[in-house]
Amino acid sequence: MNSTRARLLCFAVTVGTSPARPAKEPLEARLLMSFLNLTSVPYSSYVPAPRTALHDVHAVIKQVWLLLLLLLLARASLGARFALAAATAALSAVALPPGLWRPQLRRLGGLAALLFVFTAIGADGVPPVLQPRSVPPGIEGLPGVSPAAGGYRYVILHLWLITVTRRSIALAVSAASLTFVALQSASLCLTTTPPEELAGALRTLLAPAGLLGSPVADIGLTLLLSLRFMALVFDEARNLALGLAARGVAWSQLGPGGSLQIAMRLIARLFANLMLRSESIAVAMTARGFAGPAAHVVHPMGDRPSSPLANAAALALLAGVAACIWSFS
Amino acid sequence: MDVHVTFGNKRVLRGASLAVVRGSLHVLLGPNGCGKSTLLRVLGRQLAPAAGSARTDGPISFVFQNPDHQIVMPTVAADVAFGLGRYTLPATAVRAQVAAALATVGLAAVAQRPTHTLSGGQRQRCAIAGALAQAPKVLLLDELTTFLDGGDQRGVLEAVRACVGGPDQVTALWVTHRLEELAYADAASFMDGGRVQVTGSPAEVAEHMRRLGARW
Ligand SMILES: Nc1ncnc2c1ncn2[C@@H]1O[C@H](COP(=O)(O)OP(=O)(O)O)[C@@H](O)[C@H]1O
Ligand SMILES: [Mg+2]
Repeated sequence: MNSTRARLLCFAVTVGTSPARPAKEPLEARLLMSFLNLTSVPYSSYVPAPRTALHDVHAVIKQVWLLLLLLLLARASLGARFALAAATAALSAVALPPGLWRPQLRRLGGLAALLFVFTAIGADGVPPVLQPRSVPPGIEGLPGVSPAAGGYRYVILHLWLITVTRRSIALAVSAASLTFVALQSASLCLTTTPPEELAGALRTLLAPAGLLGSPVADIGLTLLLSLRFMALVFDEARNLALGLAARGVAWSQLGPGGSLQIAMRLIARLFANLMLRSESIAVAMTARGFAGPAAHVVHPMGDRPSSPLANAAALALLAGVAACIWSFS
Repeated sequence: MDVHVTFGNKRVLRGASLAVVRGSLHVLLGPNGCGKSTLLRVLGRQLAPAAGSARTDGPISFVFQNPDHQIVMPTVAADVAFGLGRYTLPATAVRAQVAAALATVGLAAVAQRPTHTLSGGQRQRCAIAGALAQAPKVLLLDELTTFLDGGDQRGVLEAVRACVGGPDQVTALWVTHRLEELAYADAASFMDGGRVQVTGSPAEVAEHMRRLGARW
């Protein structure tokens, strides 16, 4: 009784609302929507509160960490690379509040996973187009190459078109871990350091190059301005995208050529608008007394100096990790 | 004093005269395109008039309509300190000046926040604090509240009110086309056609505009 009713209901639902399958949106419209759905700038910016242990480390030490981490990663064995990536993820989870590290790691983990899969499949999957130069062993009456002792196999997986080899796995681990560590460590640094201190640290570290005539002040100011106006660029792009969405373009009738044309026109508009804005910004900067990066002091206005304890701990940890990687590789 | 400005063959200011009492908040009203911004630029020495002259106290600080273009540093306190970057000042002096400016506009609590996370009204107040940190004698403020809603508008006006007067006798010239902002003024002027038509108390100027049939 009950089951027939349920079945009837089910039937009614499927019949009554049968056009439940929505018309498939064209790719262009879906791309536009996914861009508009981004609620915030998809890069990390400084988060002053809650204050974490990483906030207490001096910006110069953090930048040395970033640099050495990449150098170490280049030297490390496969296992160590993987371990460094895992350690970076763990550090993010420990140091940052969940609301921050979860989306960061989800985004970046997805990217690294994608990179891993594509490199693993693609790196060694294309058969060489060269002709074999040697006579097959069977013709010469020799026994074929016997499988290696200890179960060593170069080709790890071979399924139809997919070939995964040792080389492609090694490449995939390297690419994925390098990307992950580079981006996530930079993100950690950005979320826990005021941009003005980052720029100050960069100027400190580049000071020797300044003696050789490098425009260190310009580089520092460029970093600051890009950190400041990244959000503005994003907003501008978003506004243009909103305008496009509001016009309700019939993408399916346009075809790829028309879509490309619209995209190009949009990009041109974006750059024109950004140029206008940068002109206004330049006028305002001059009105505020700016007369070139070399003549301008950027006063860091952080409310708390770094803690000696946190600095010492960060340096000790850096030395420890470096020693470990060095001795194991 | 009887300022004339001509762009090409377009006469924008035709003998505009304006006297502002030192240490007061003076509101300058007028329809779009009547030359208010041009007059400010003459007063701020950004534009040399074809005829006439301008005499003001100094230094002068400008605040424009769009705070997004005036805030140039990523963090609030560092941006307020930006205008002090051309002087070599001891860090303690800079900090004291920045803290005082932020307190005046009511932004002390967000001093360490990234500037792009502020609300529109907070951003405008941050821009005012940046101008204020340079210890100006004259503040020229051009349509700061055009894009703000009621609450933010009041916050910005109160911030400007707090800047005016004091031991330094700071003078503010506030350009707007919102009539209700006269409530915050010490005195006001109405401009039209490149001339200042009337100057007086806020009530007098409001009365004049009512006679003109303004429906703001
Ligand atoms: N740099 C310029 N070149 C040419 N015309 C200008 C320039 N600046 C302003 N104008 C013109 O001068 C008039 C007054 O402008 P403005 O002072 O900005 O008016 P308001 O601020 O009262 O709206 C407008 O008609 C404007 O088009
Ligand atoms: Mg104007």
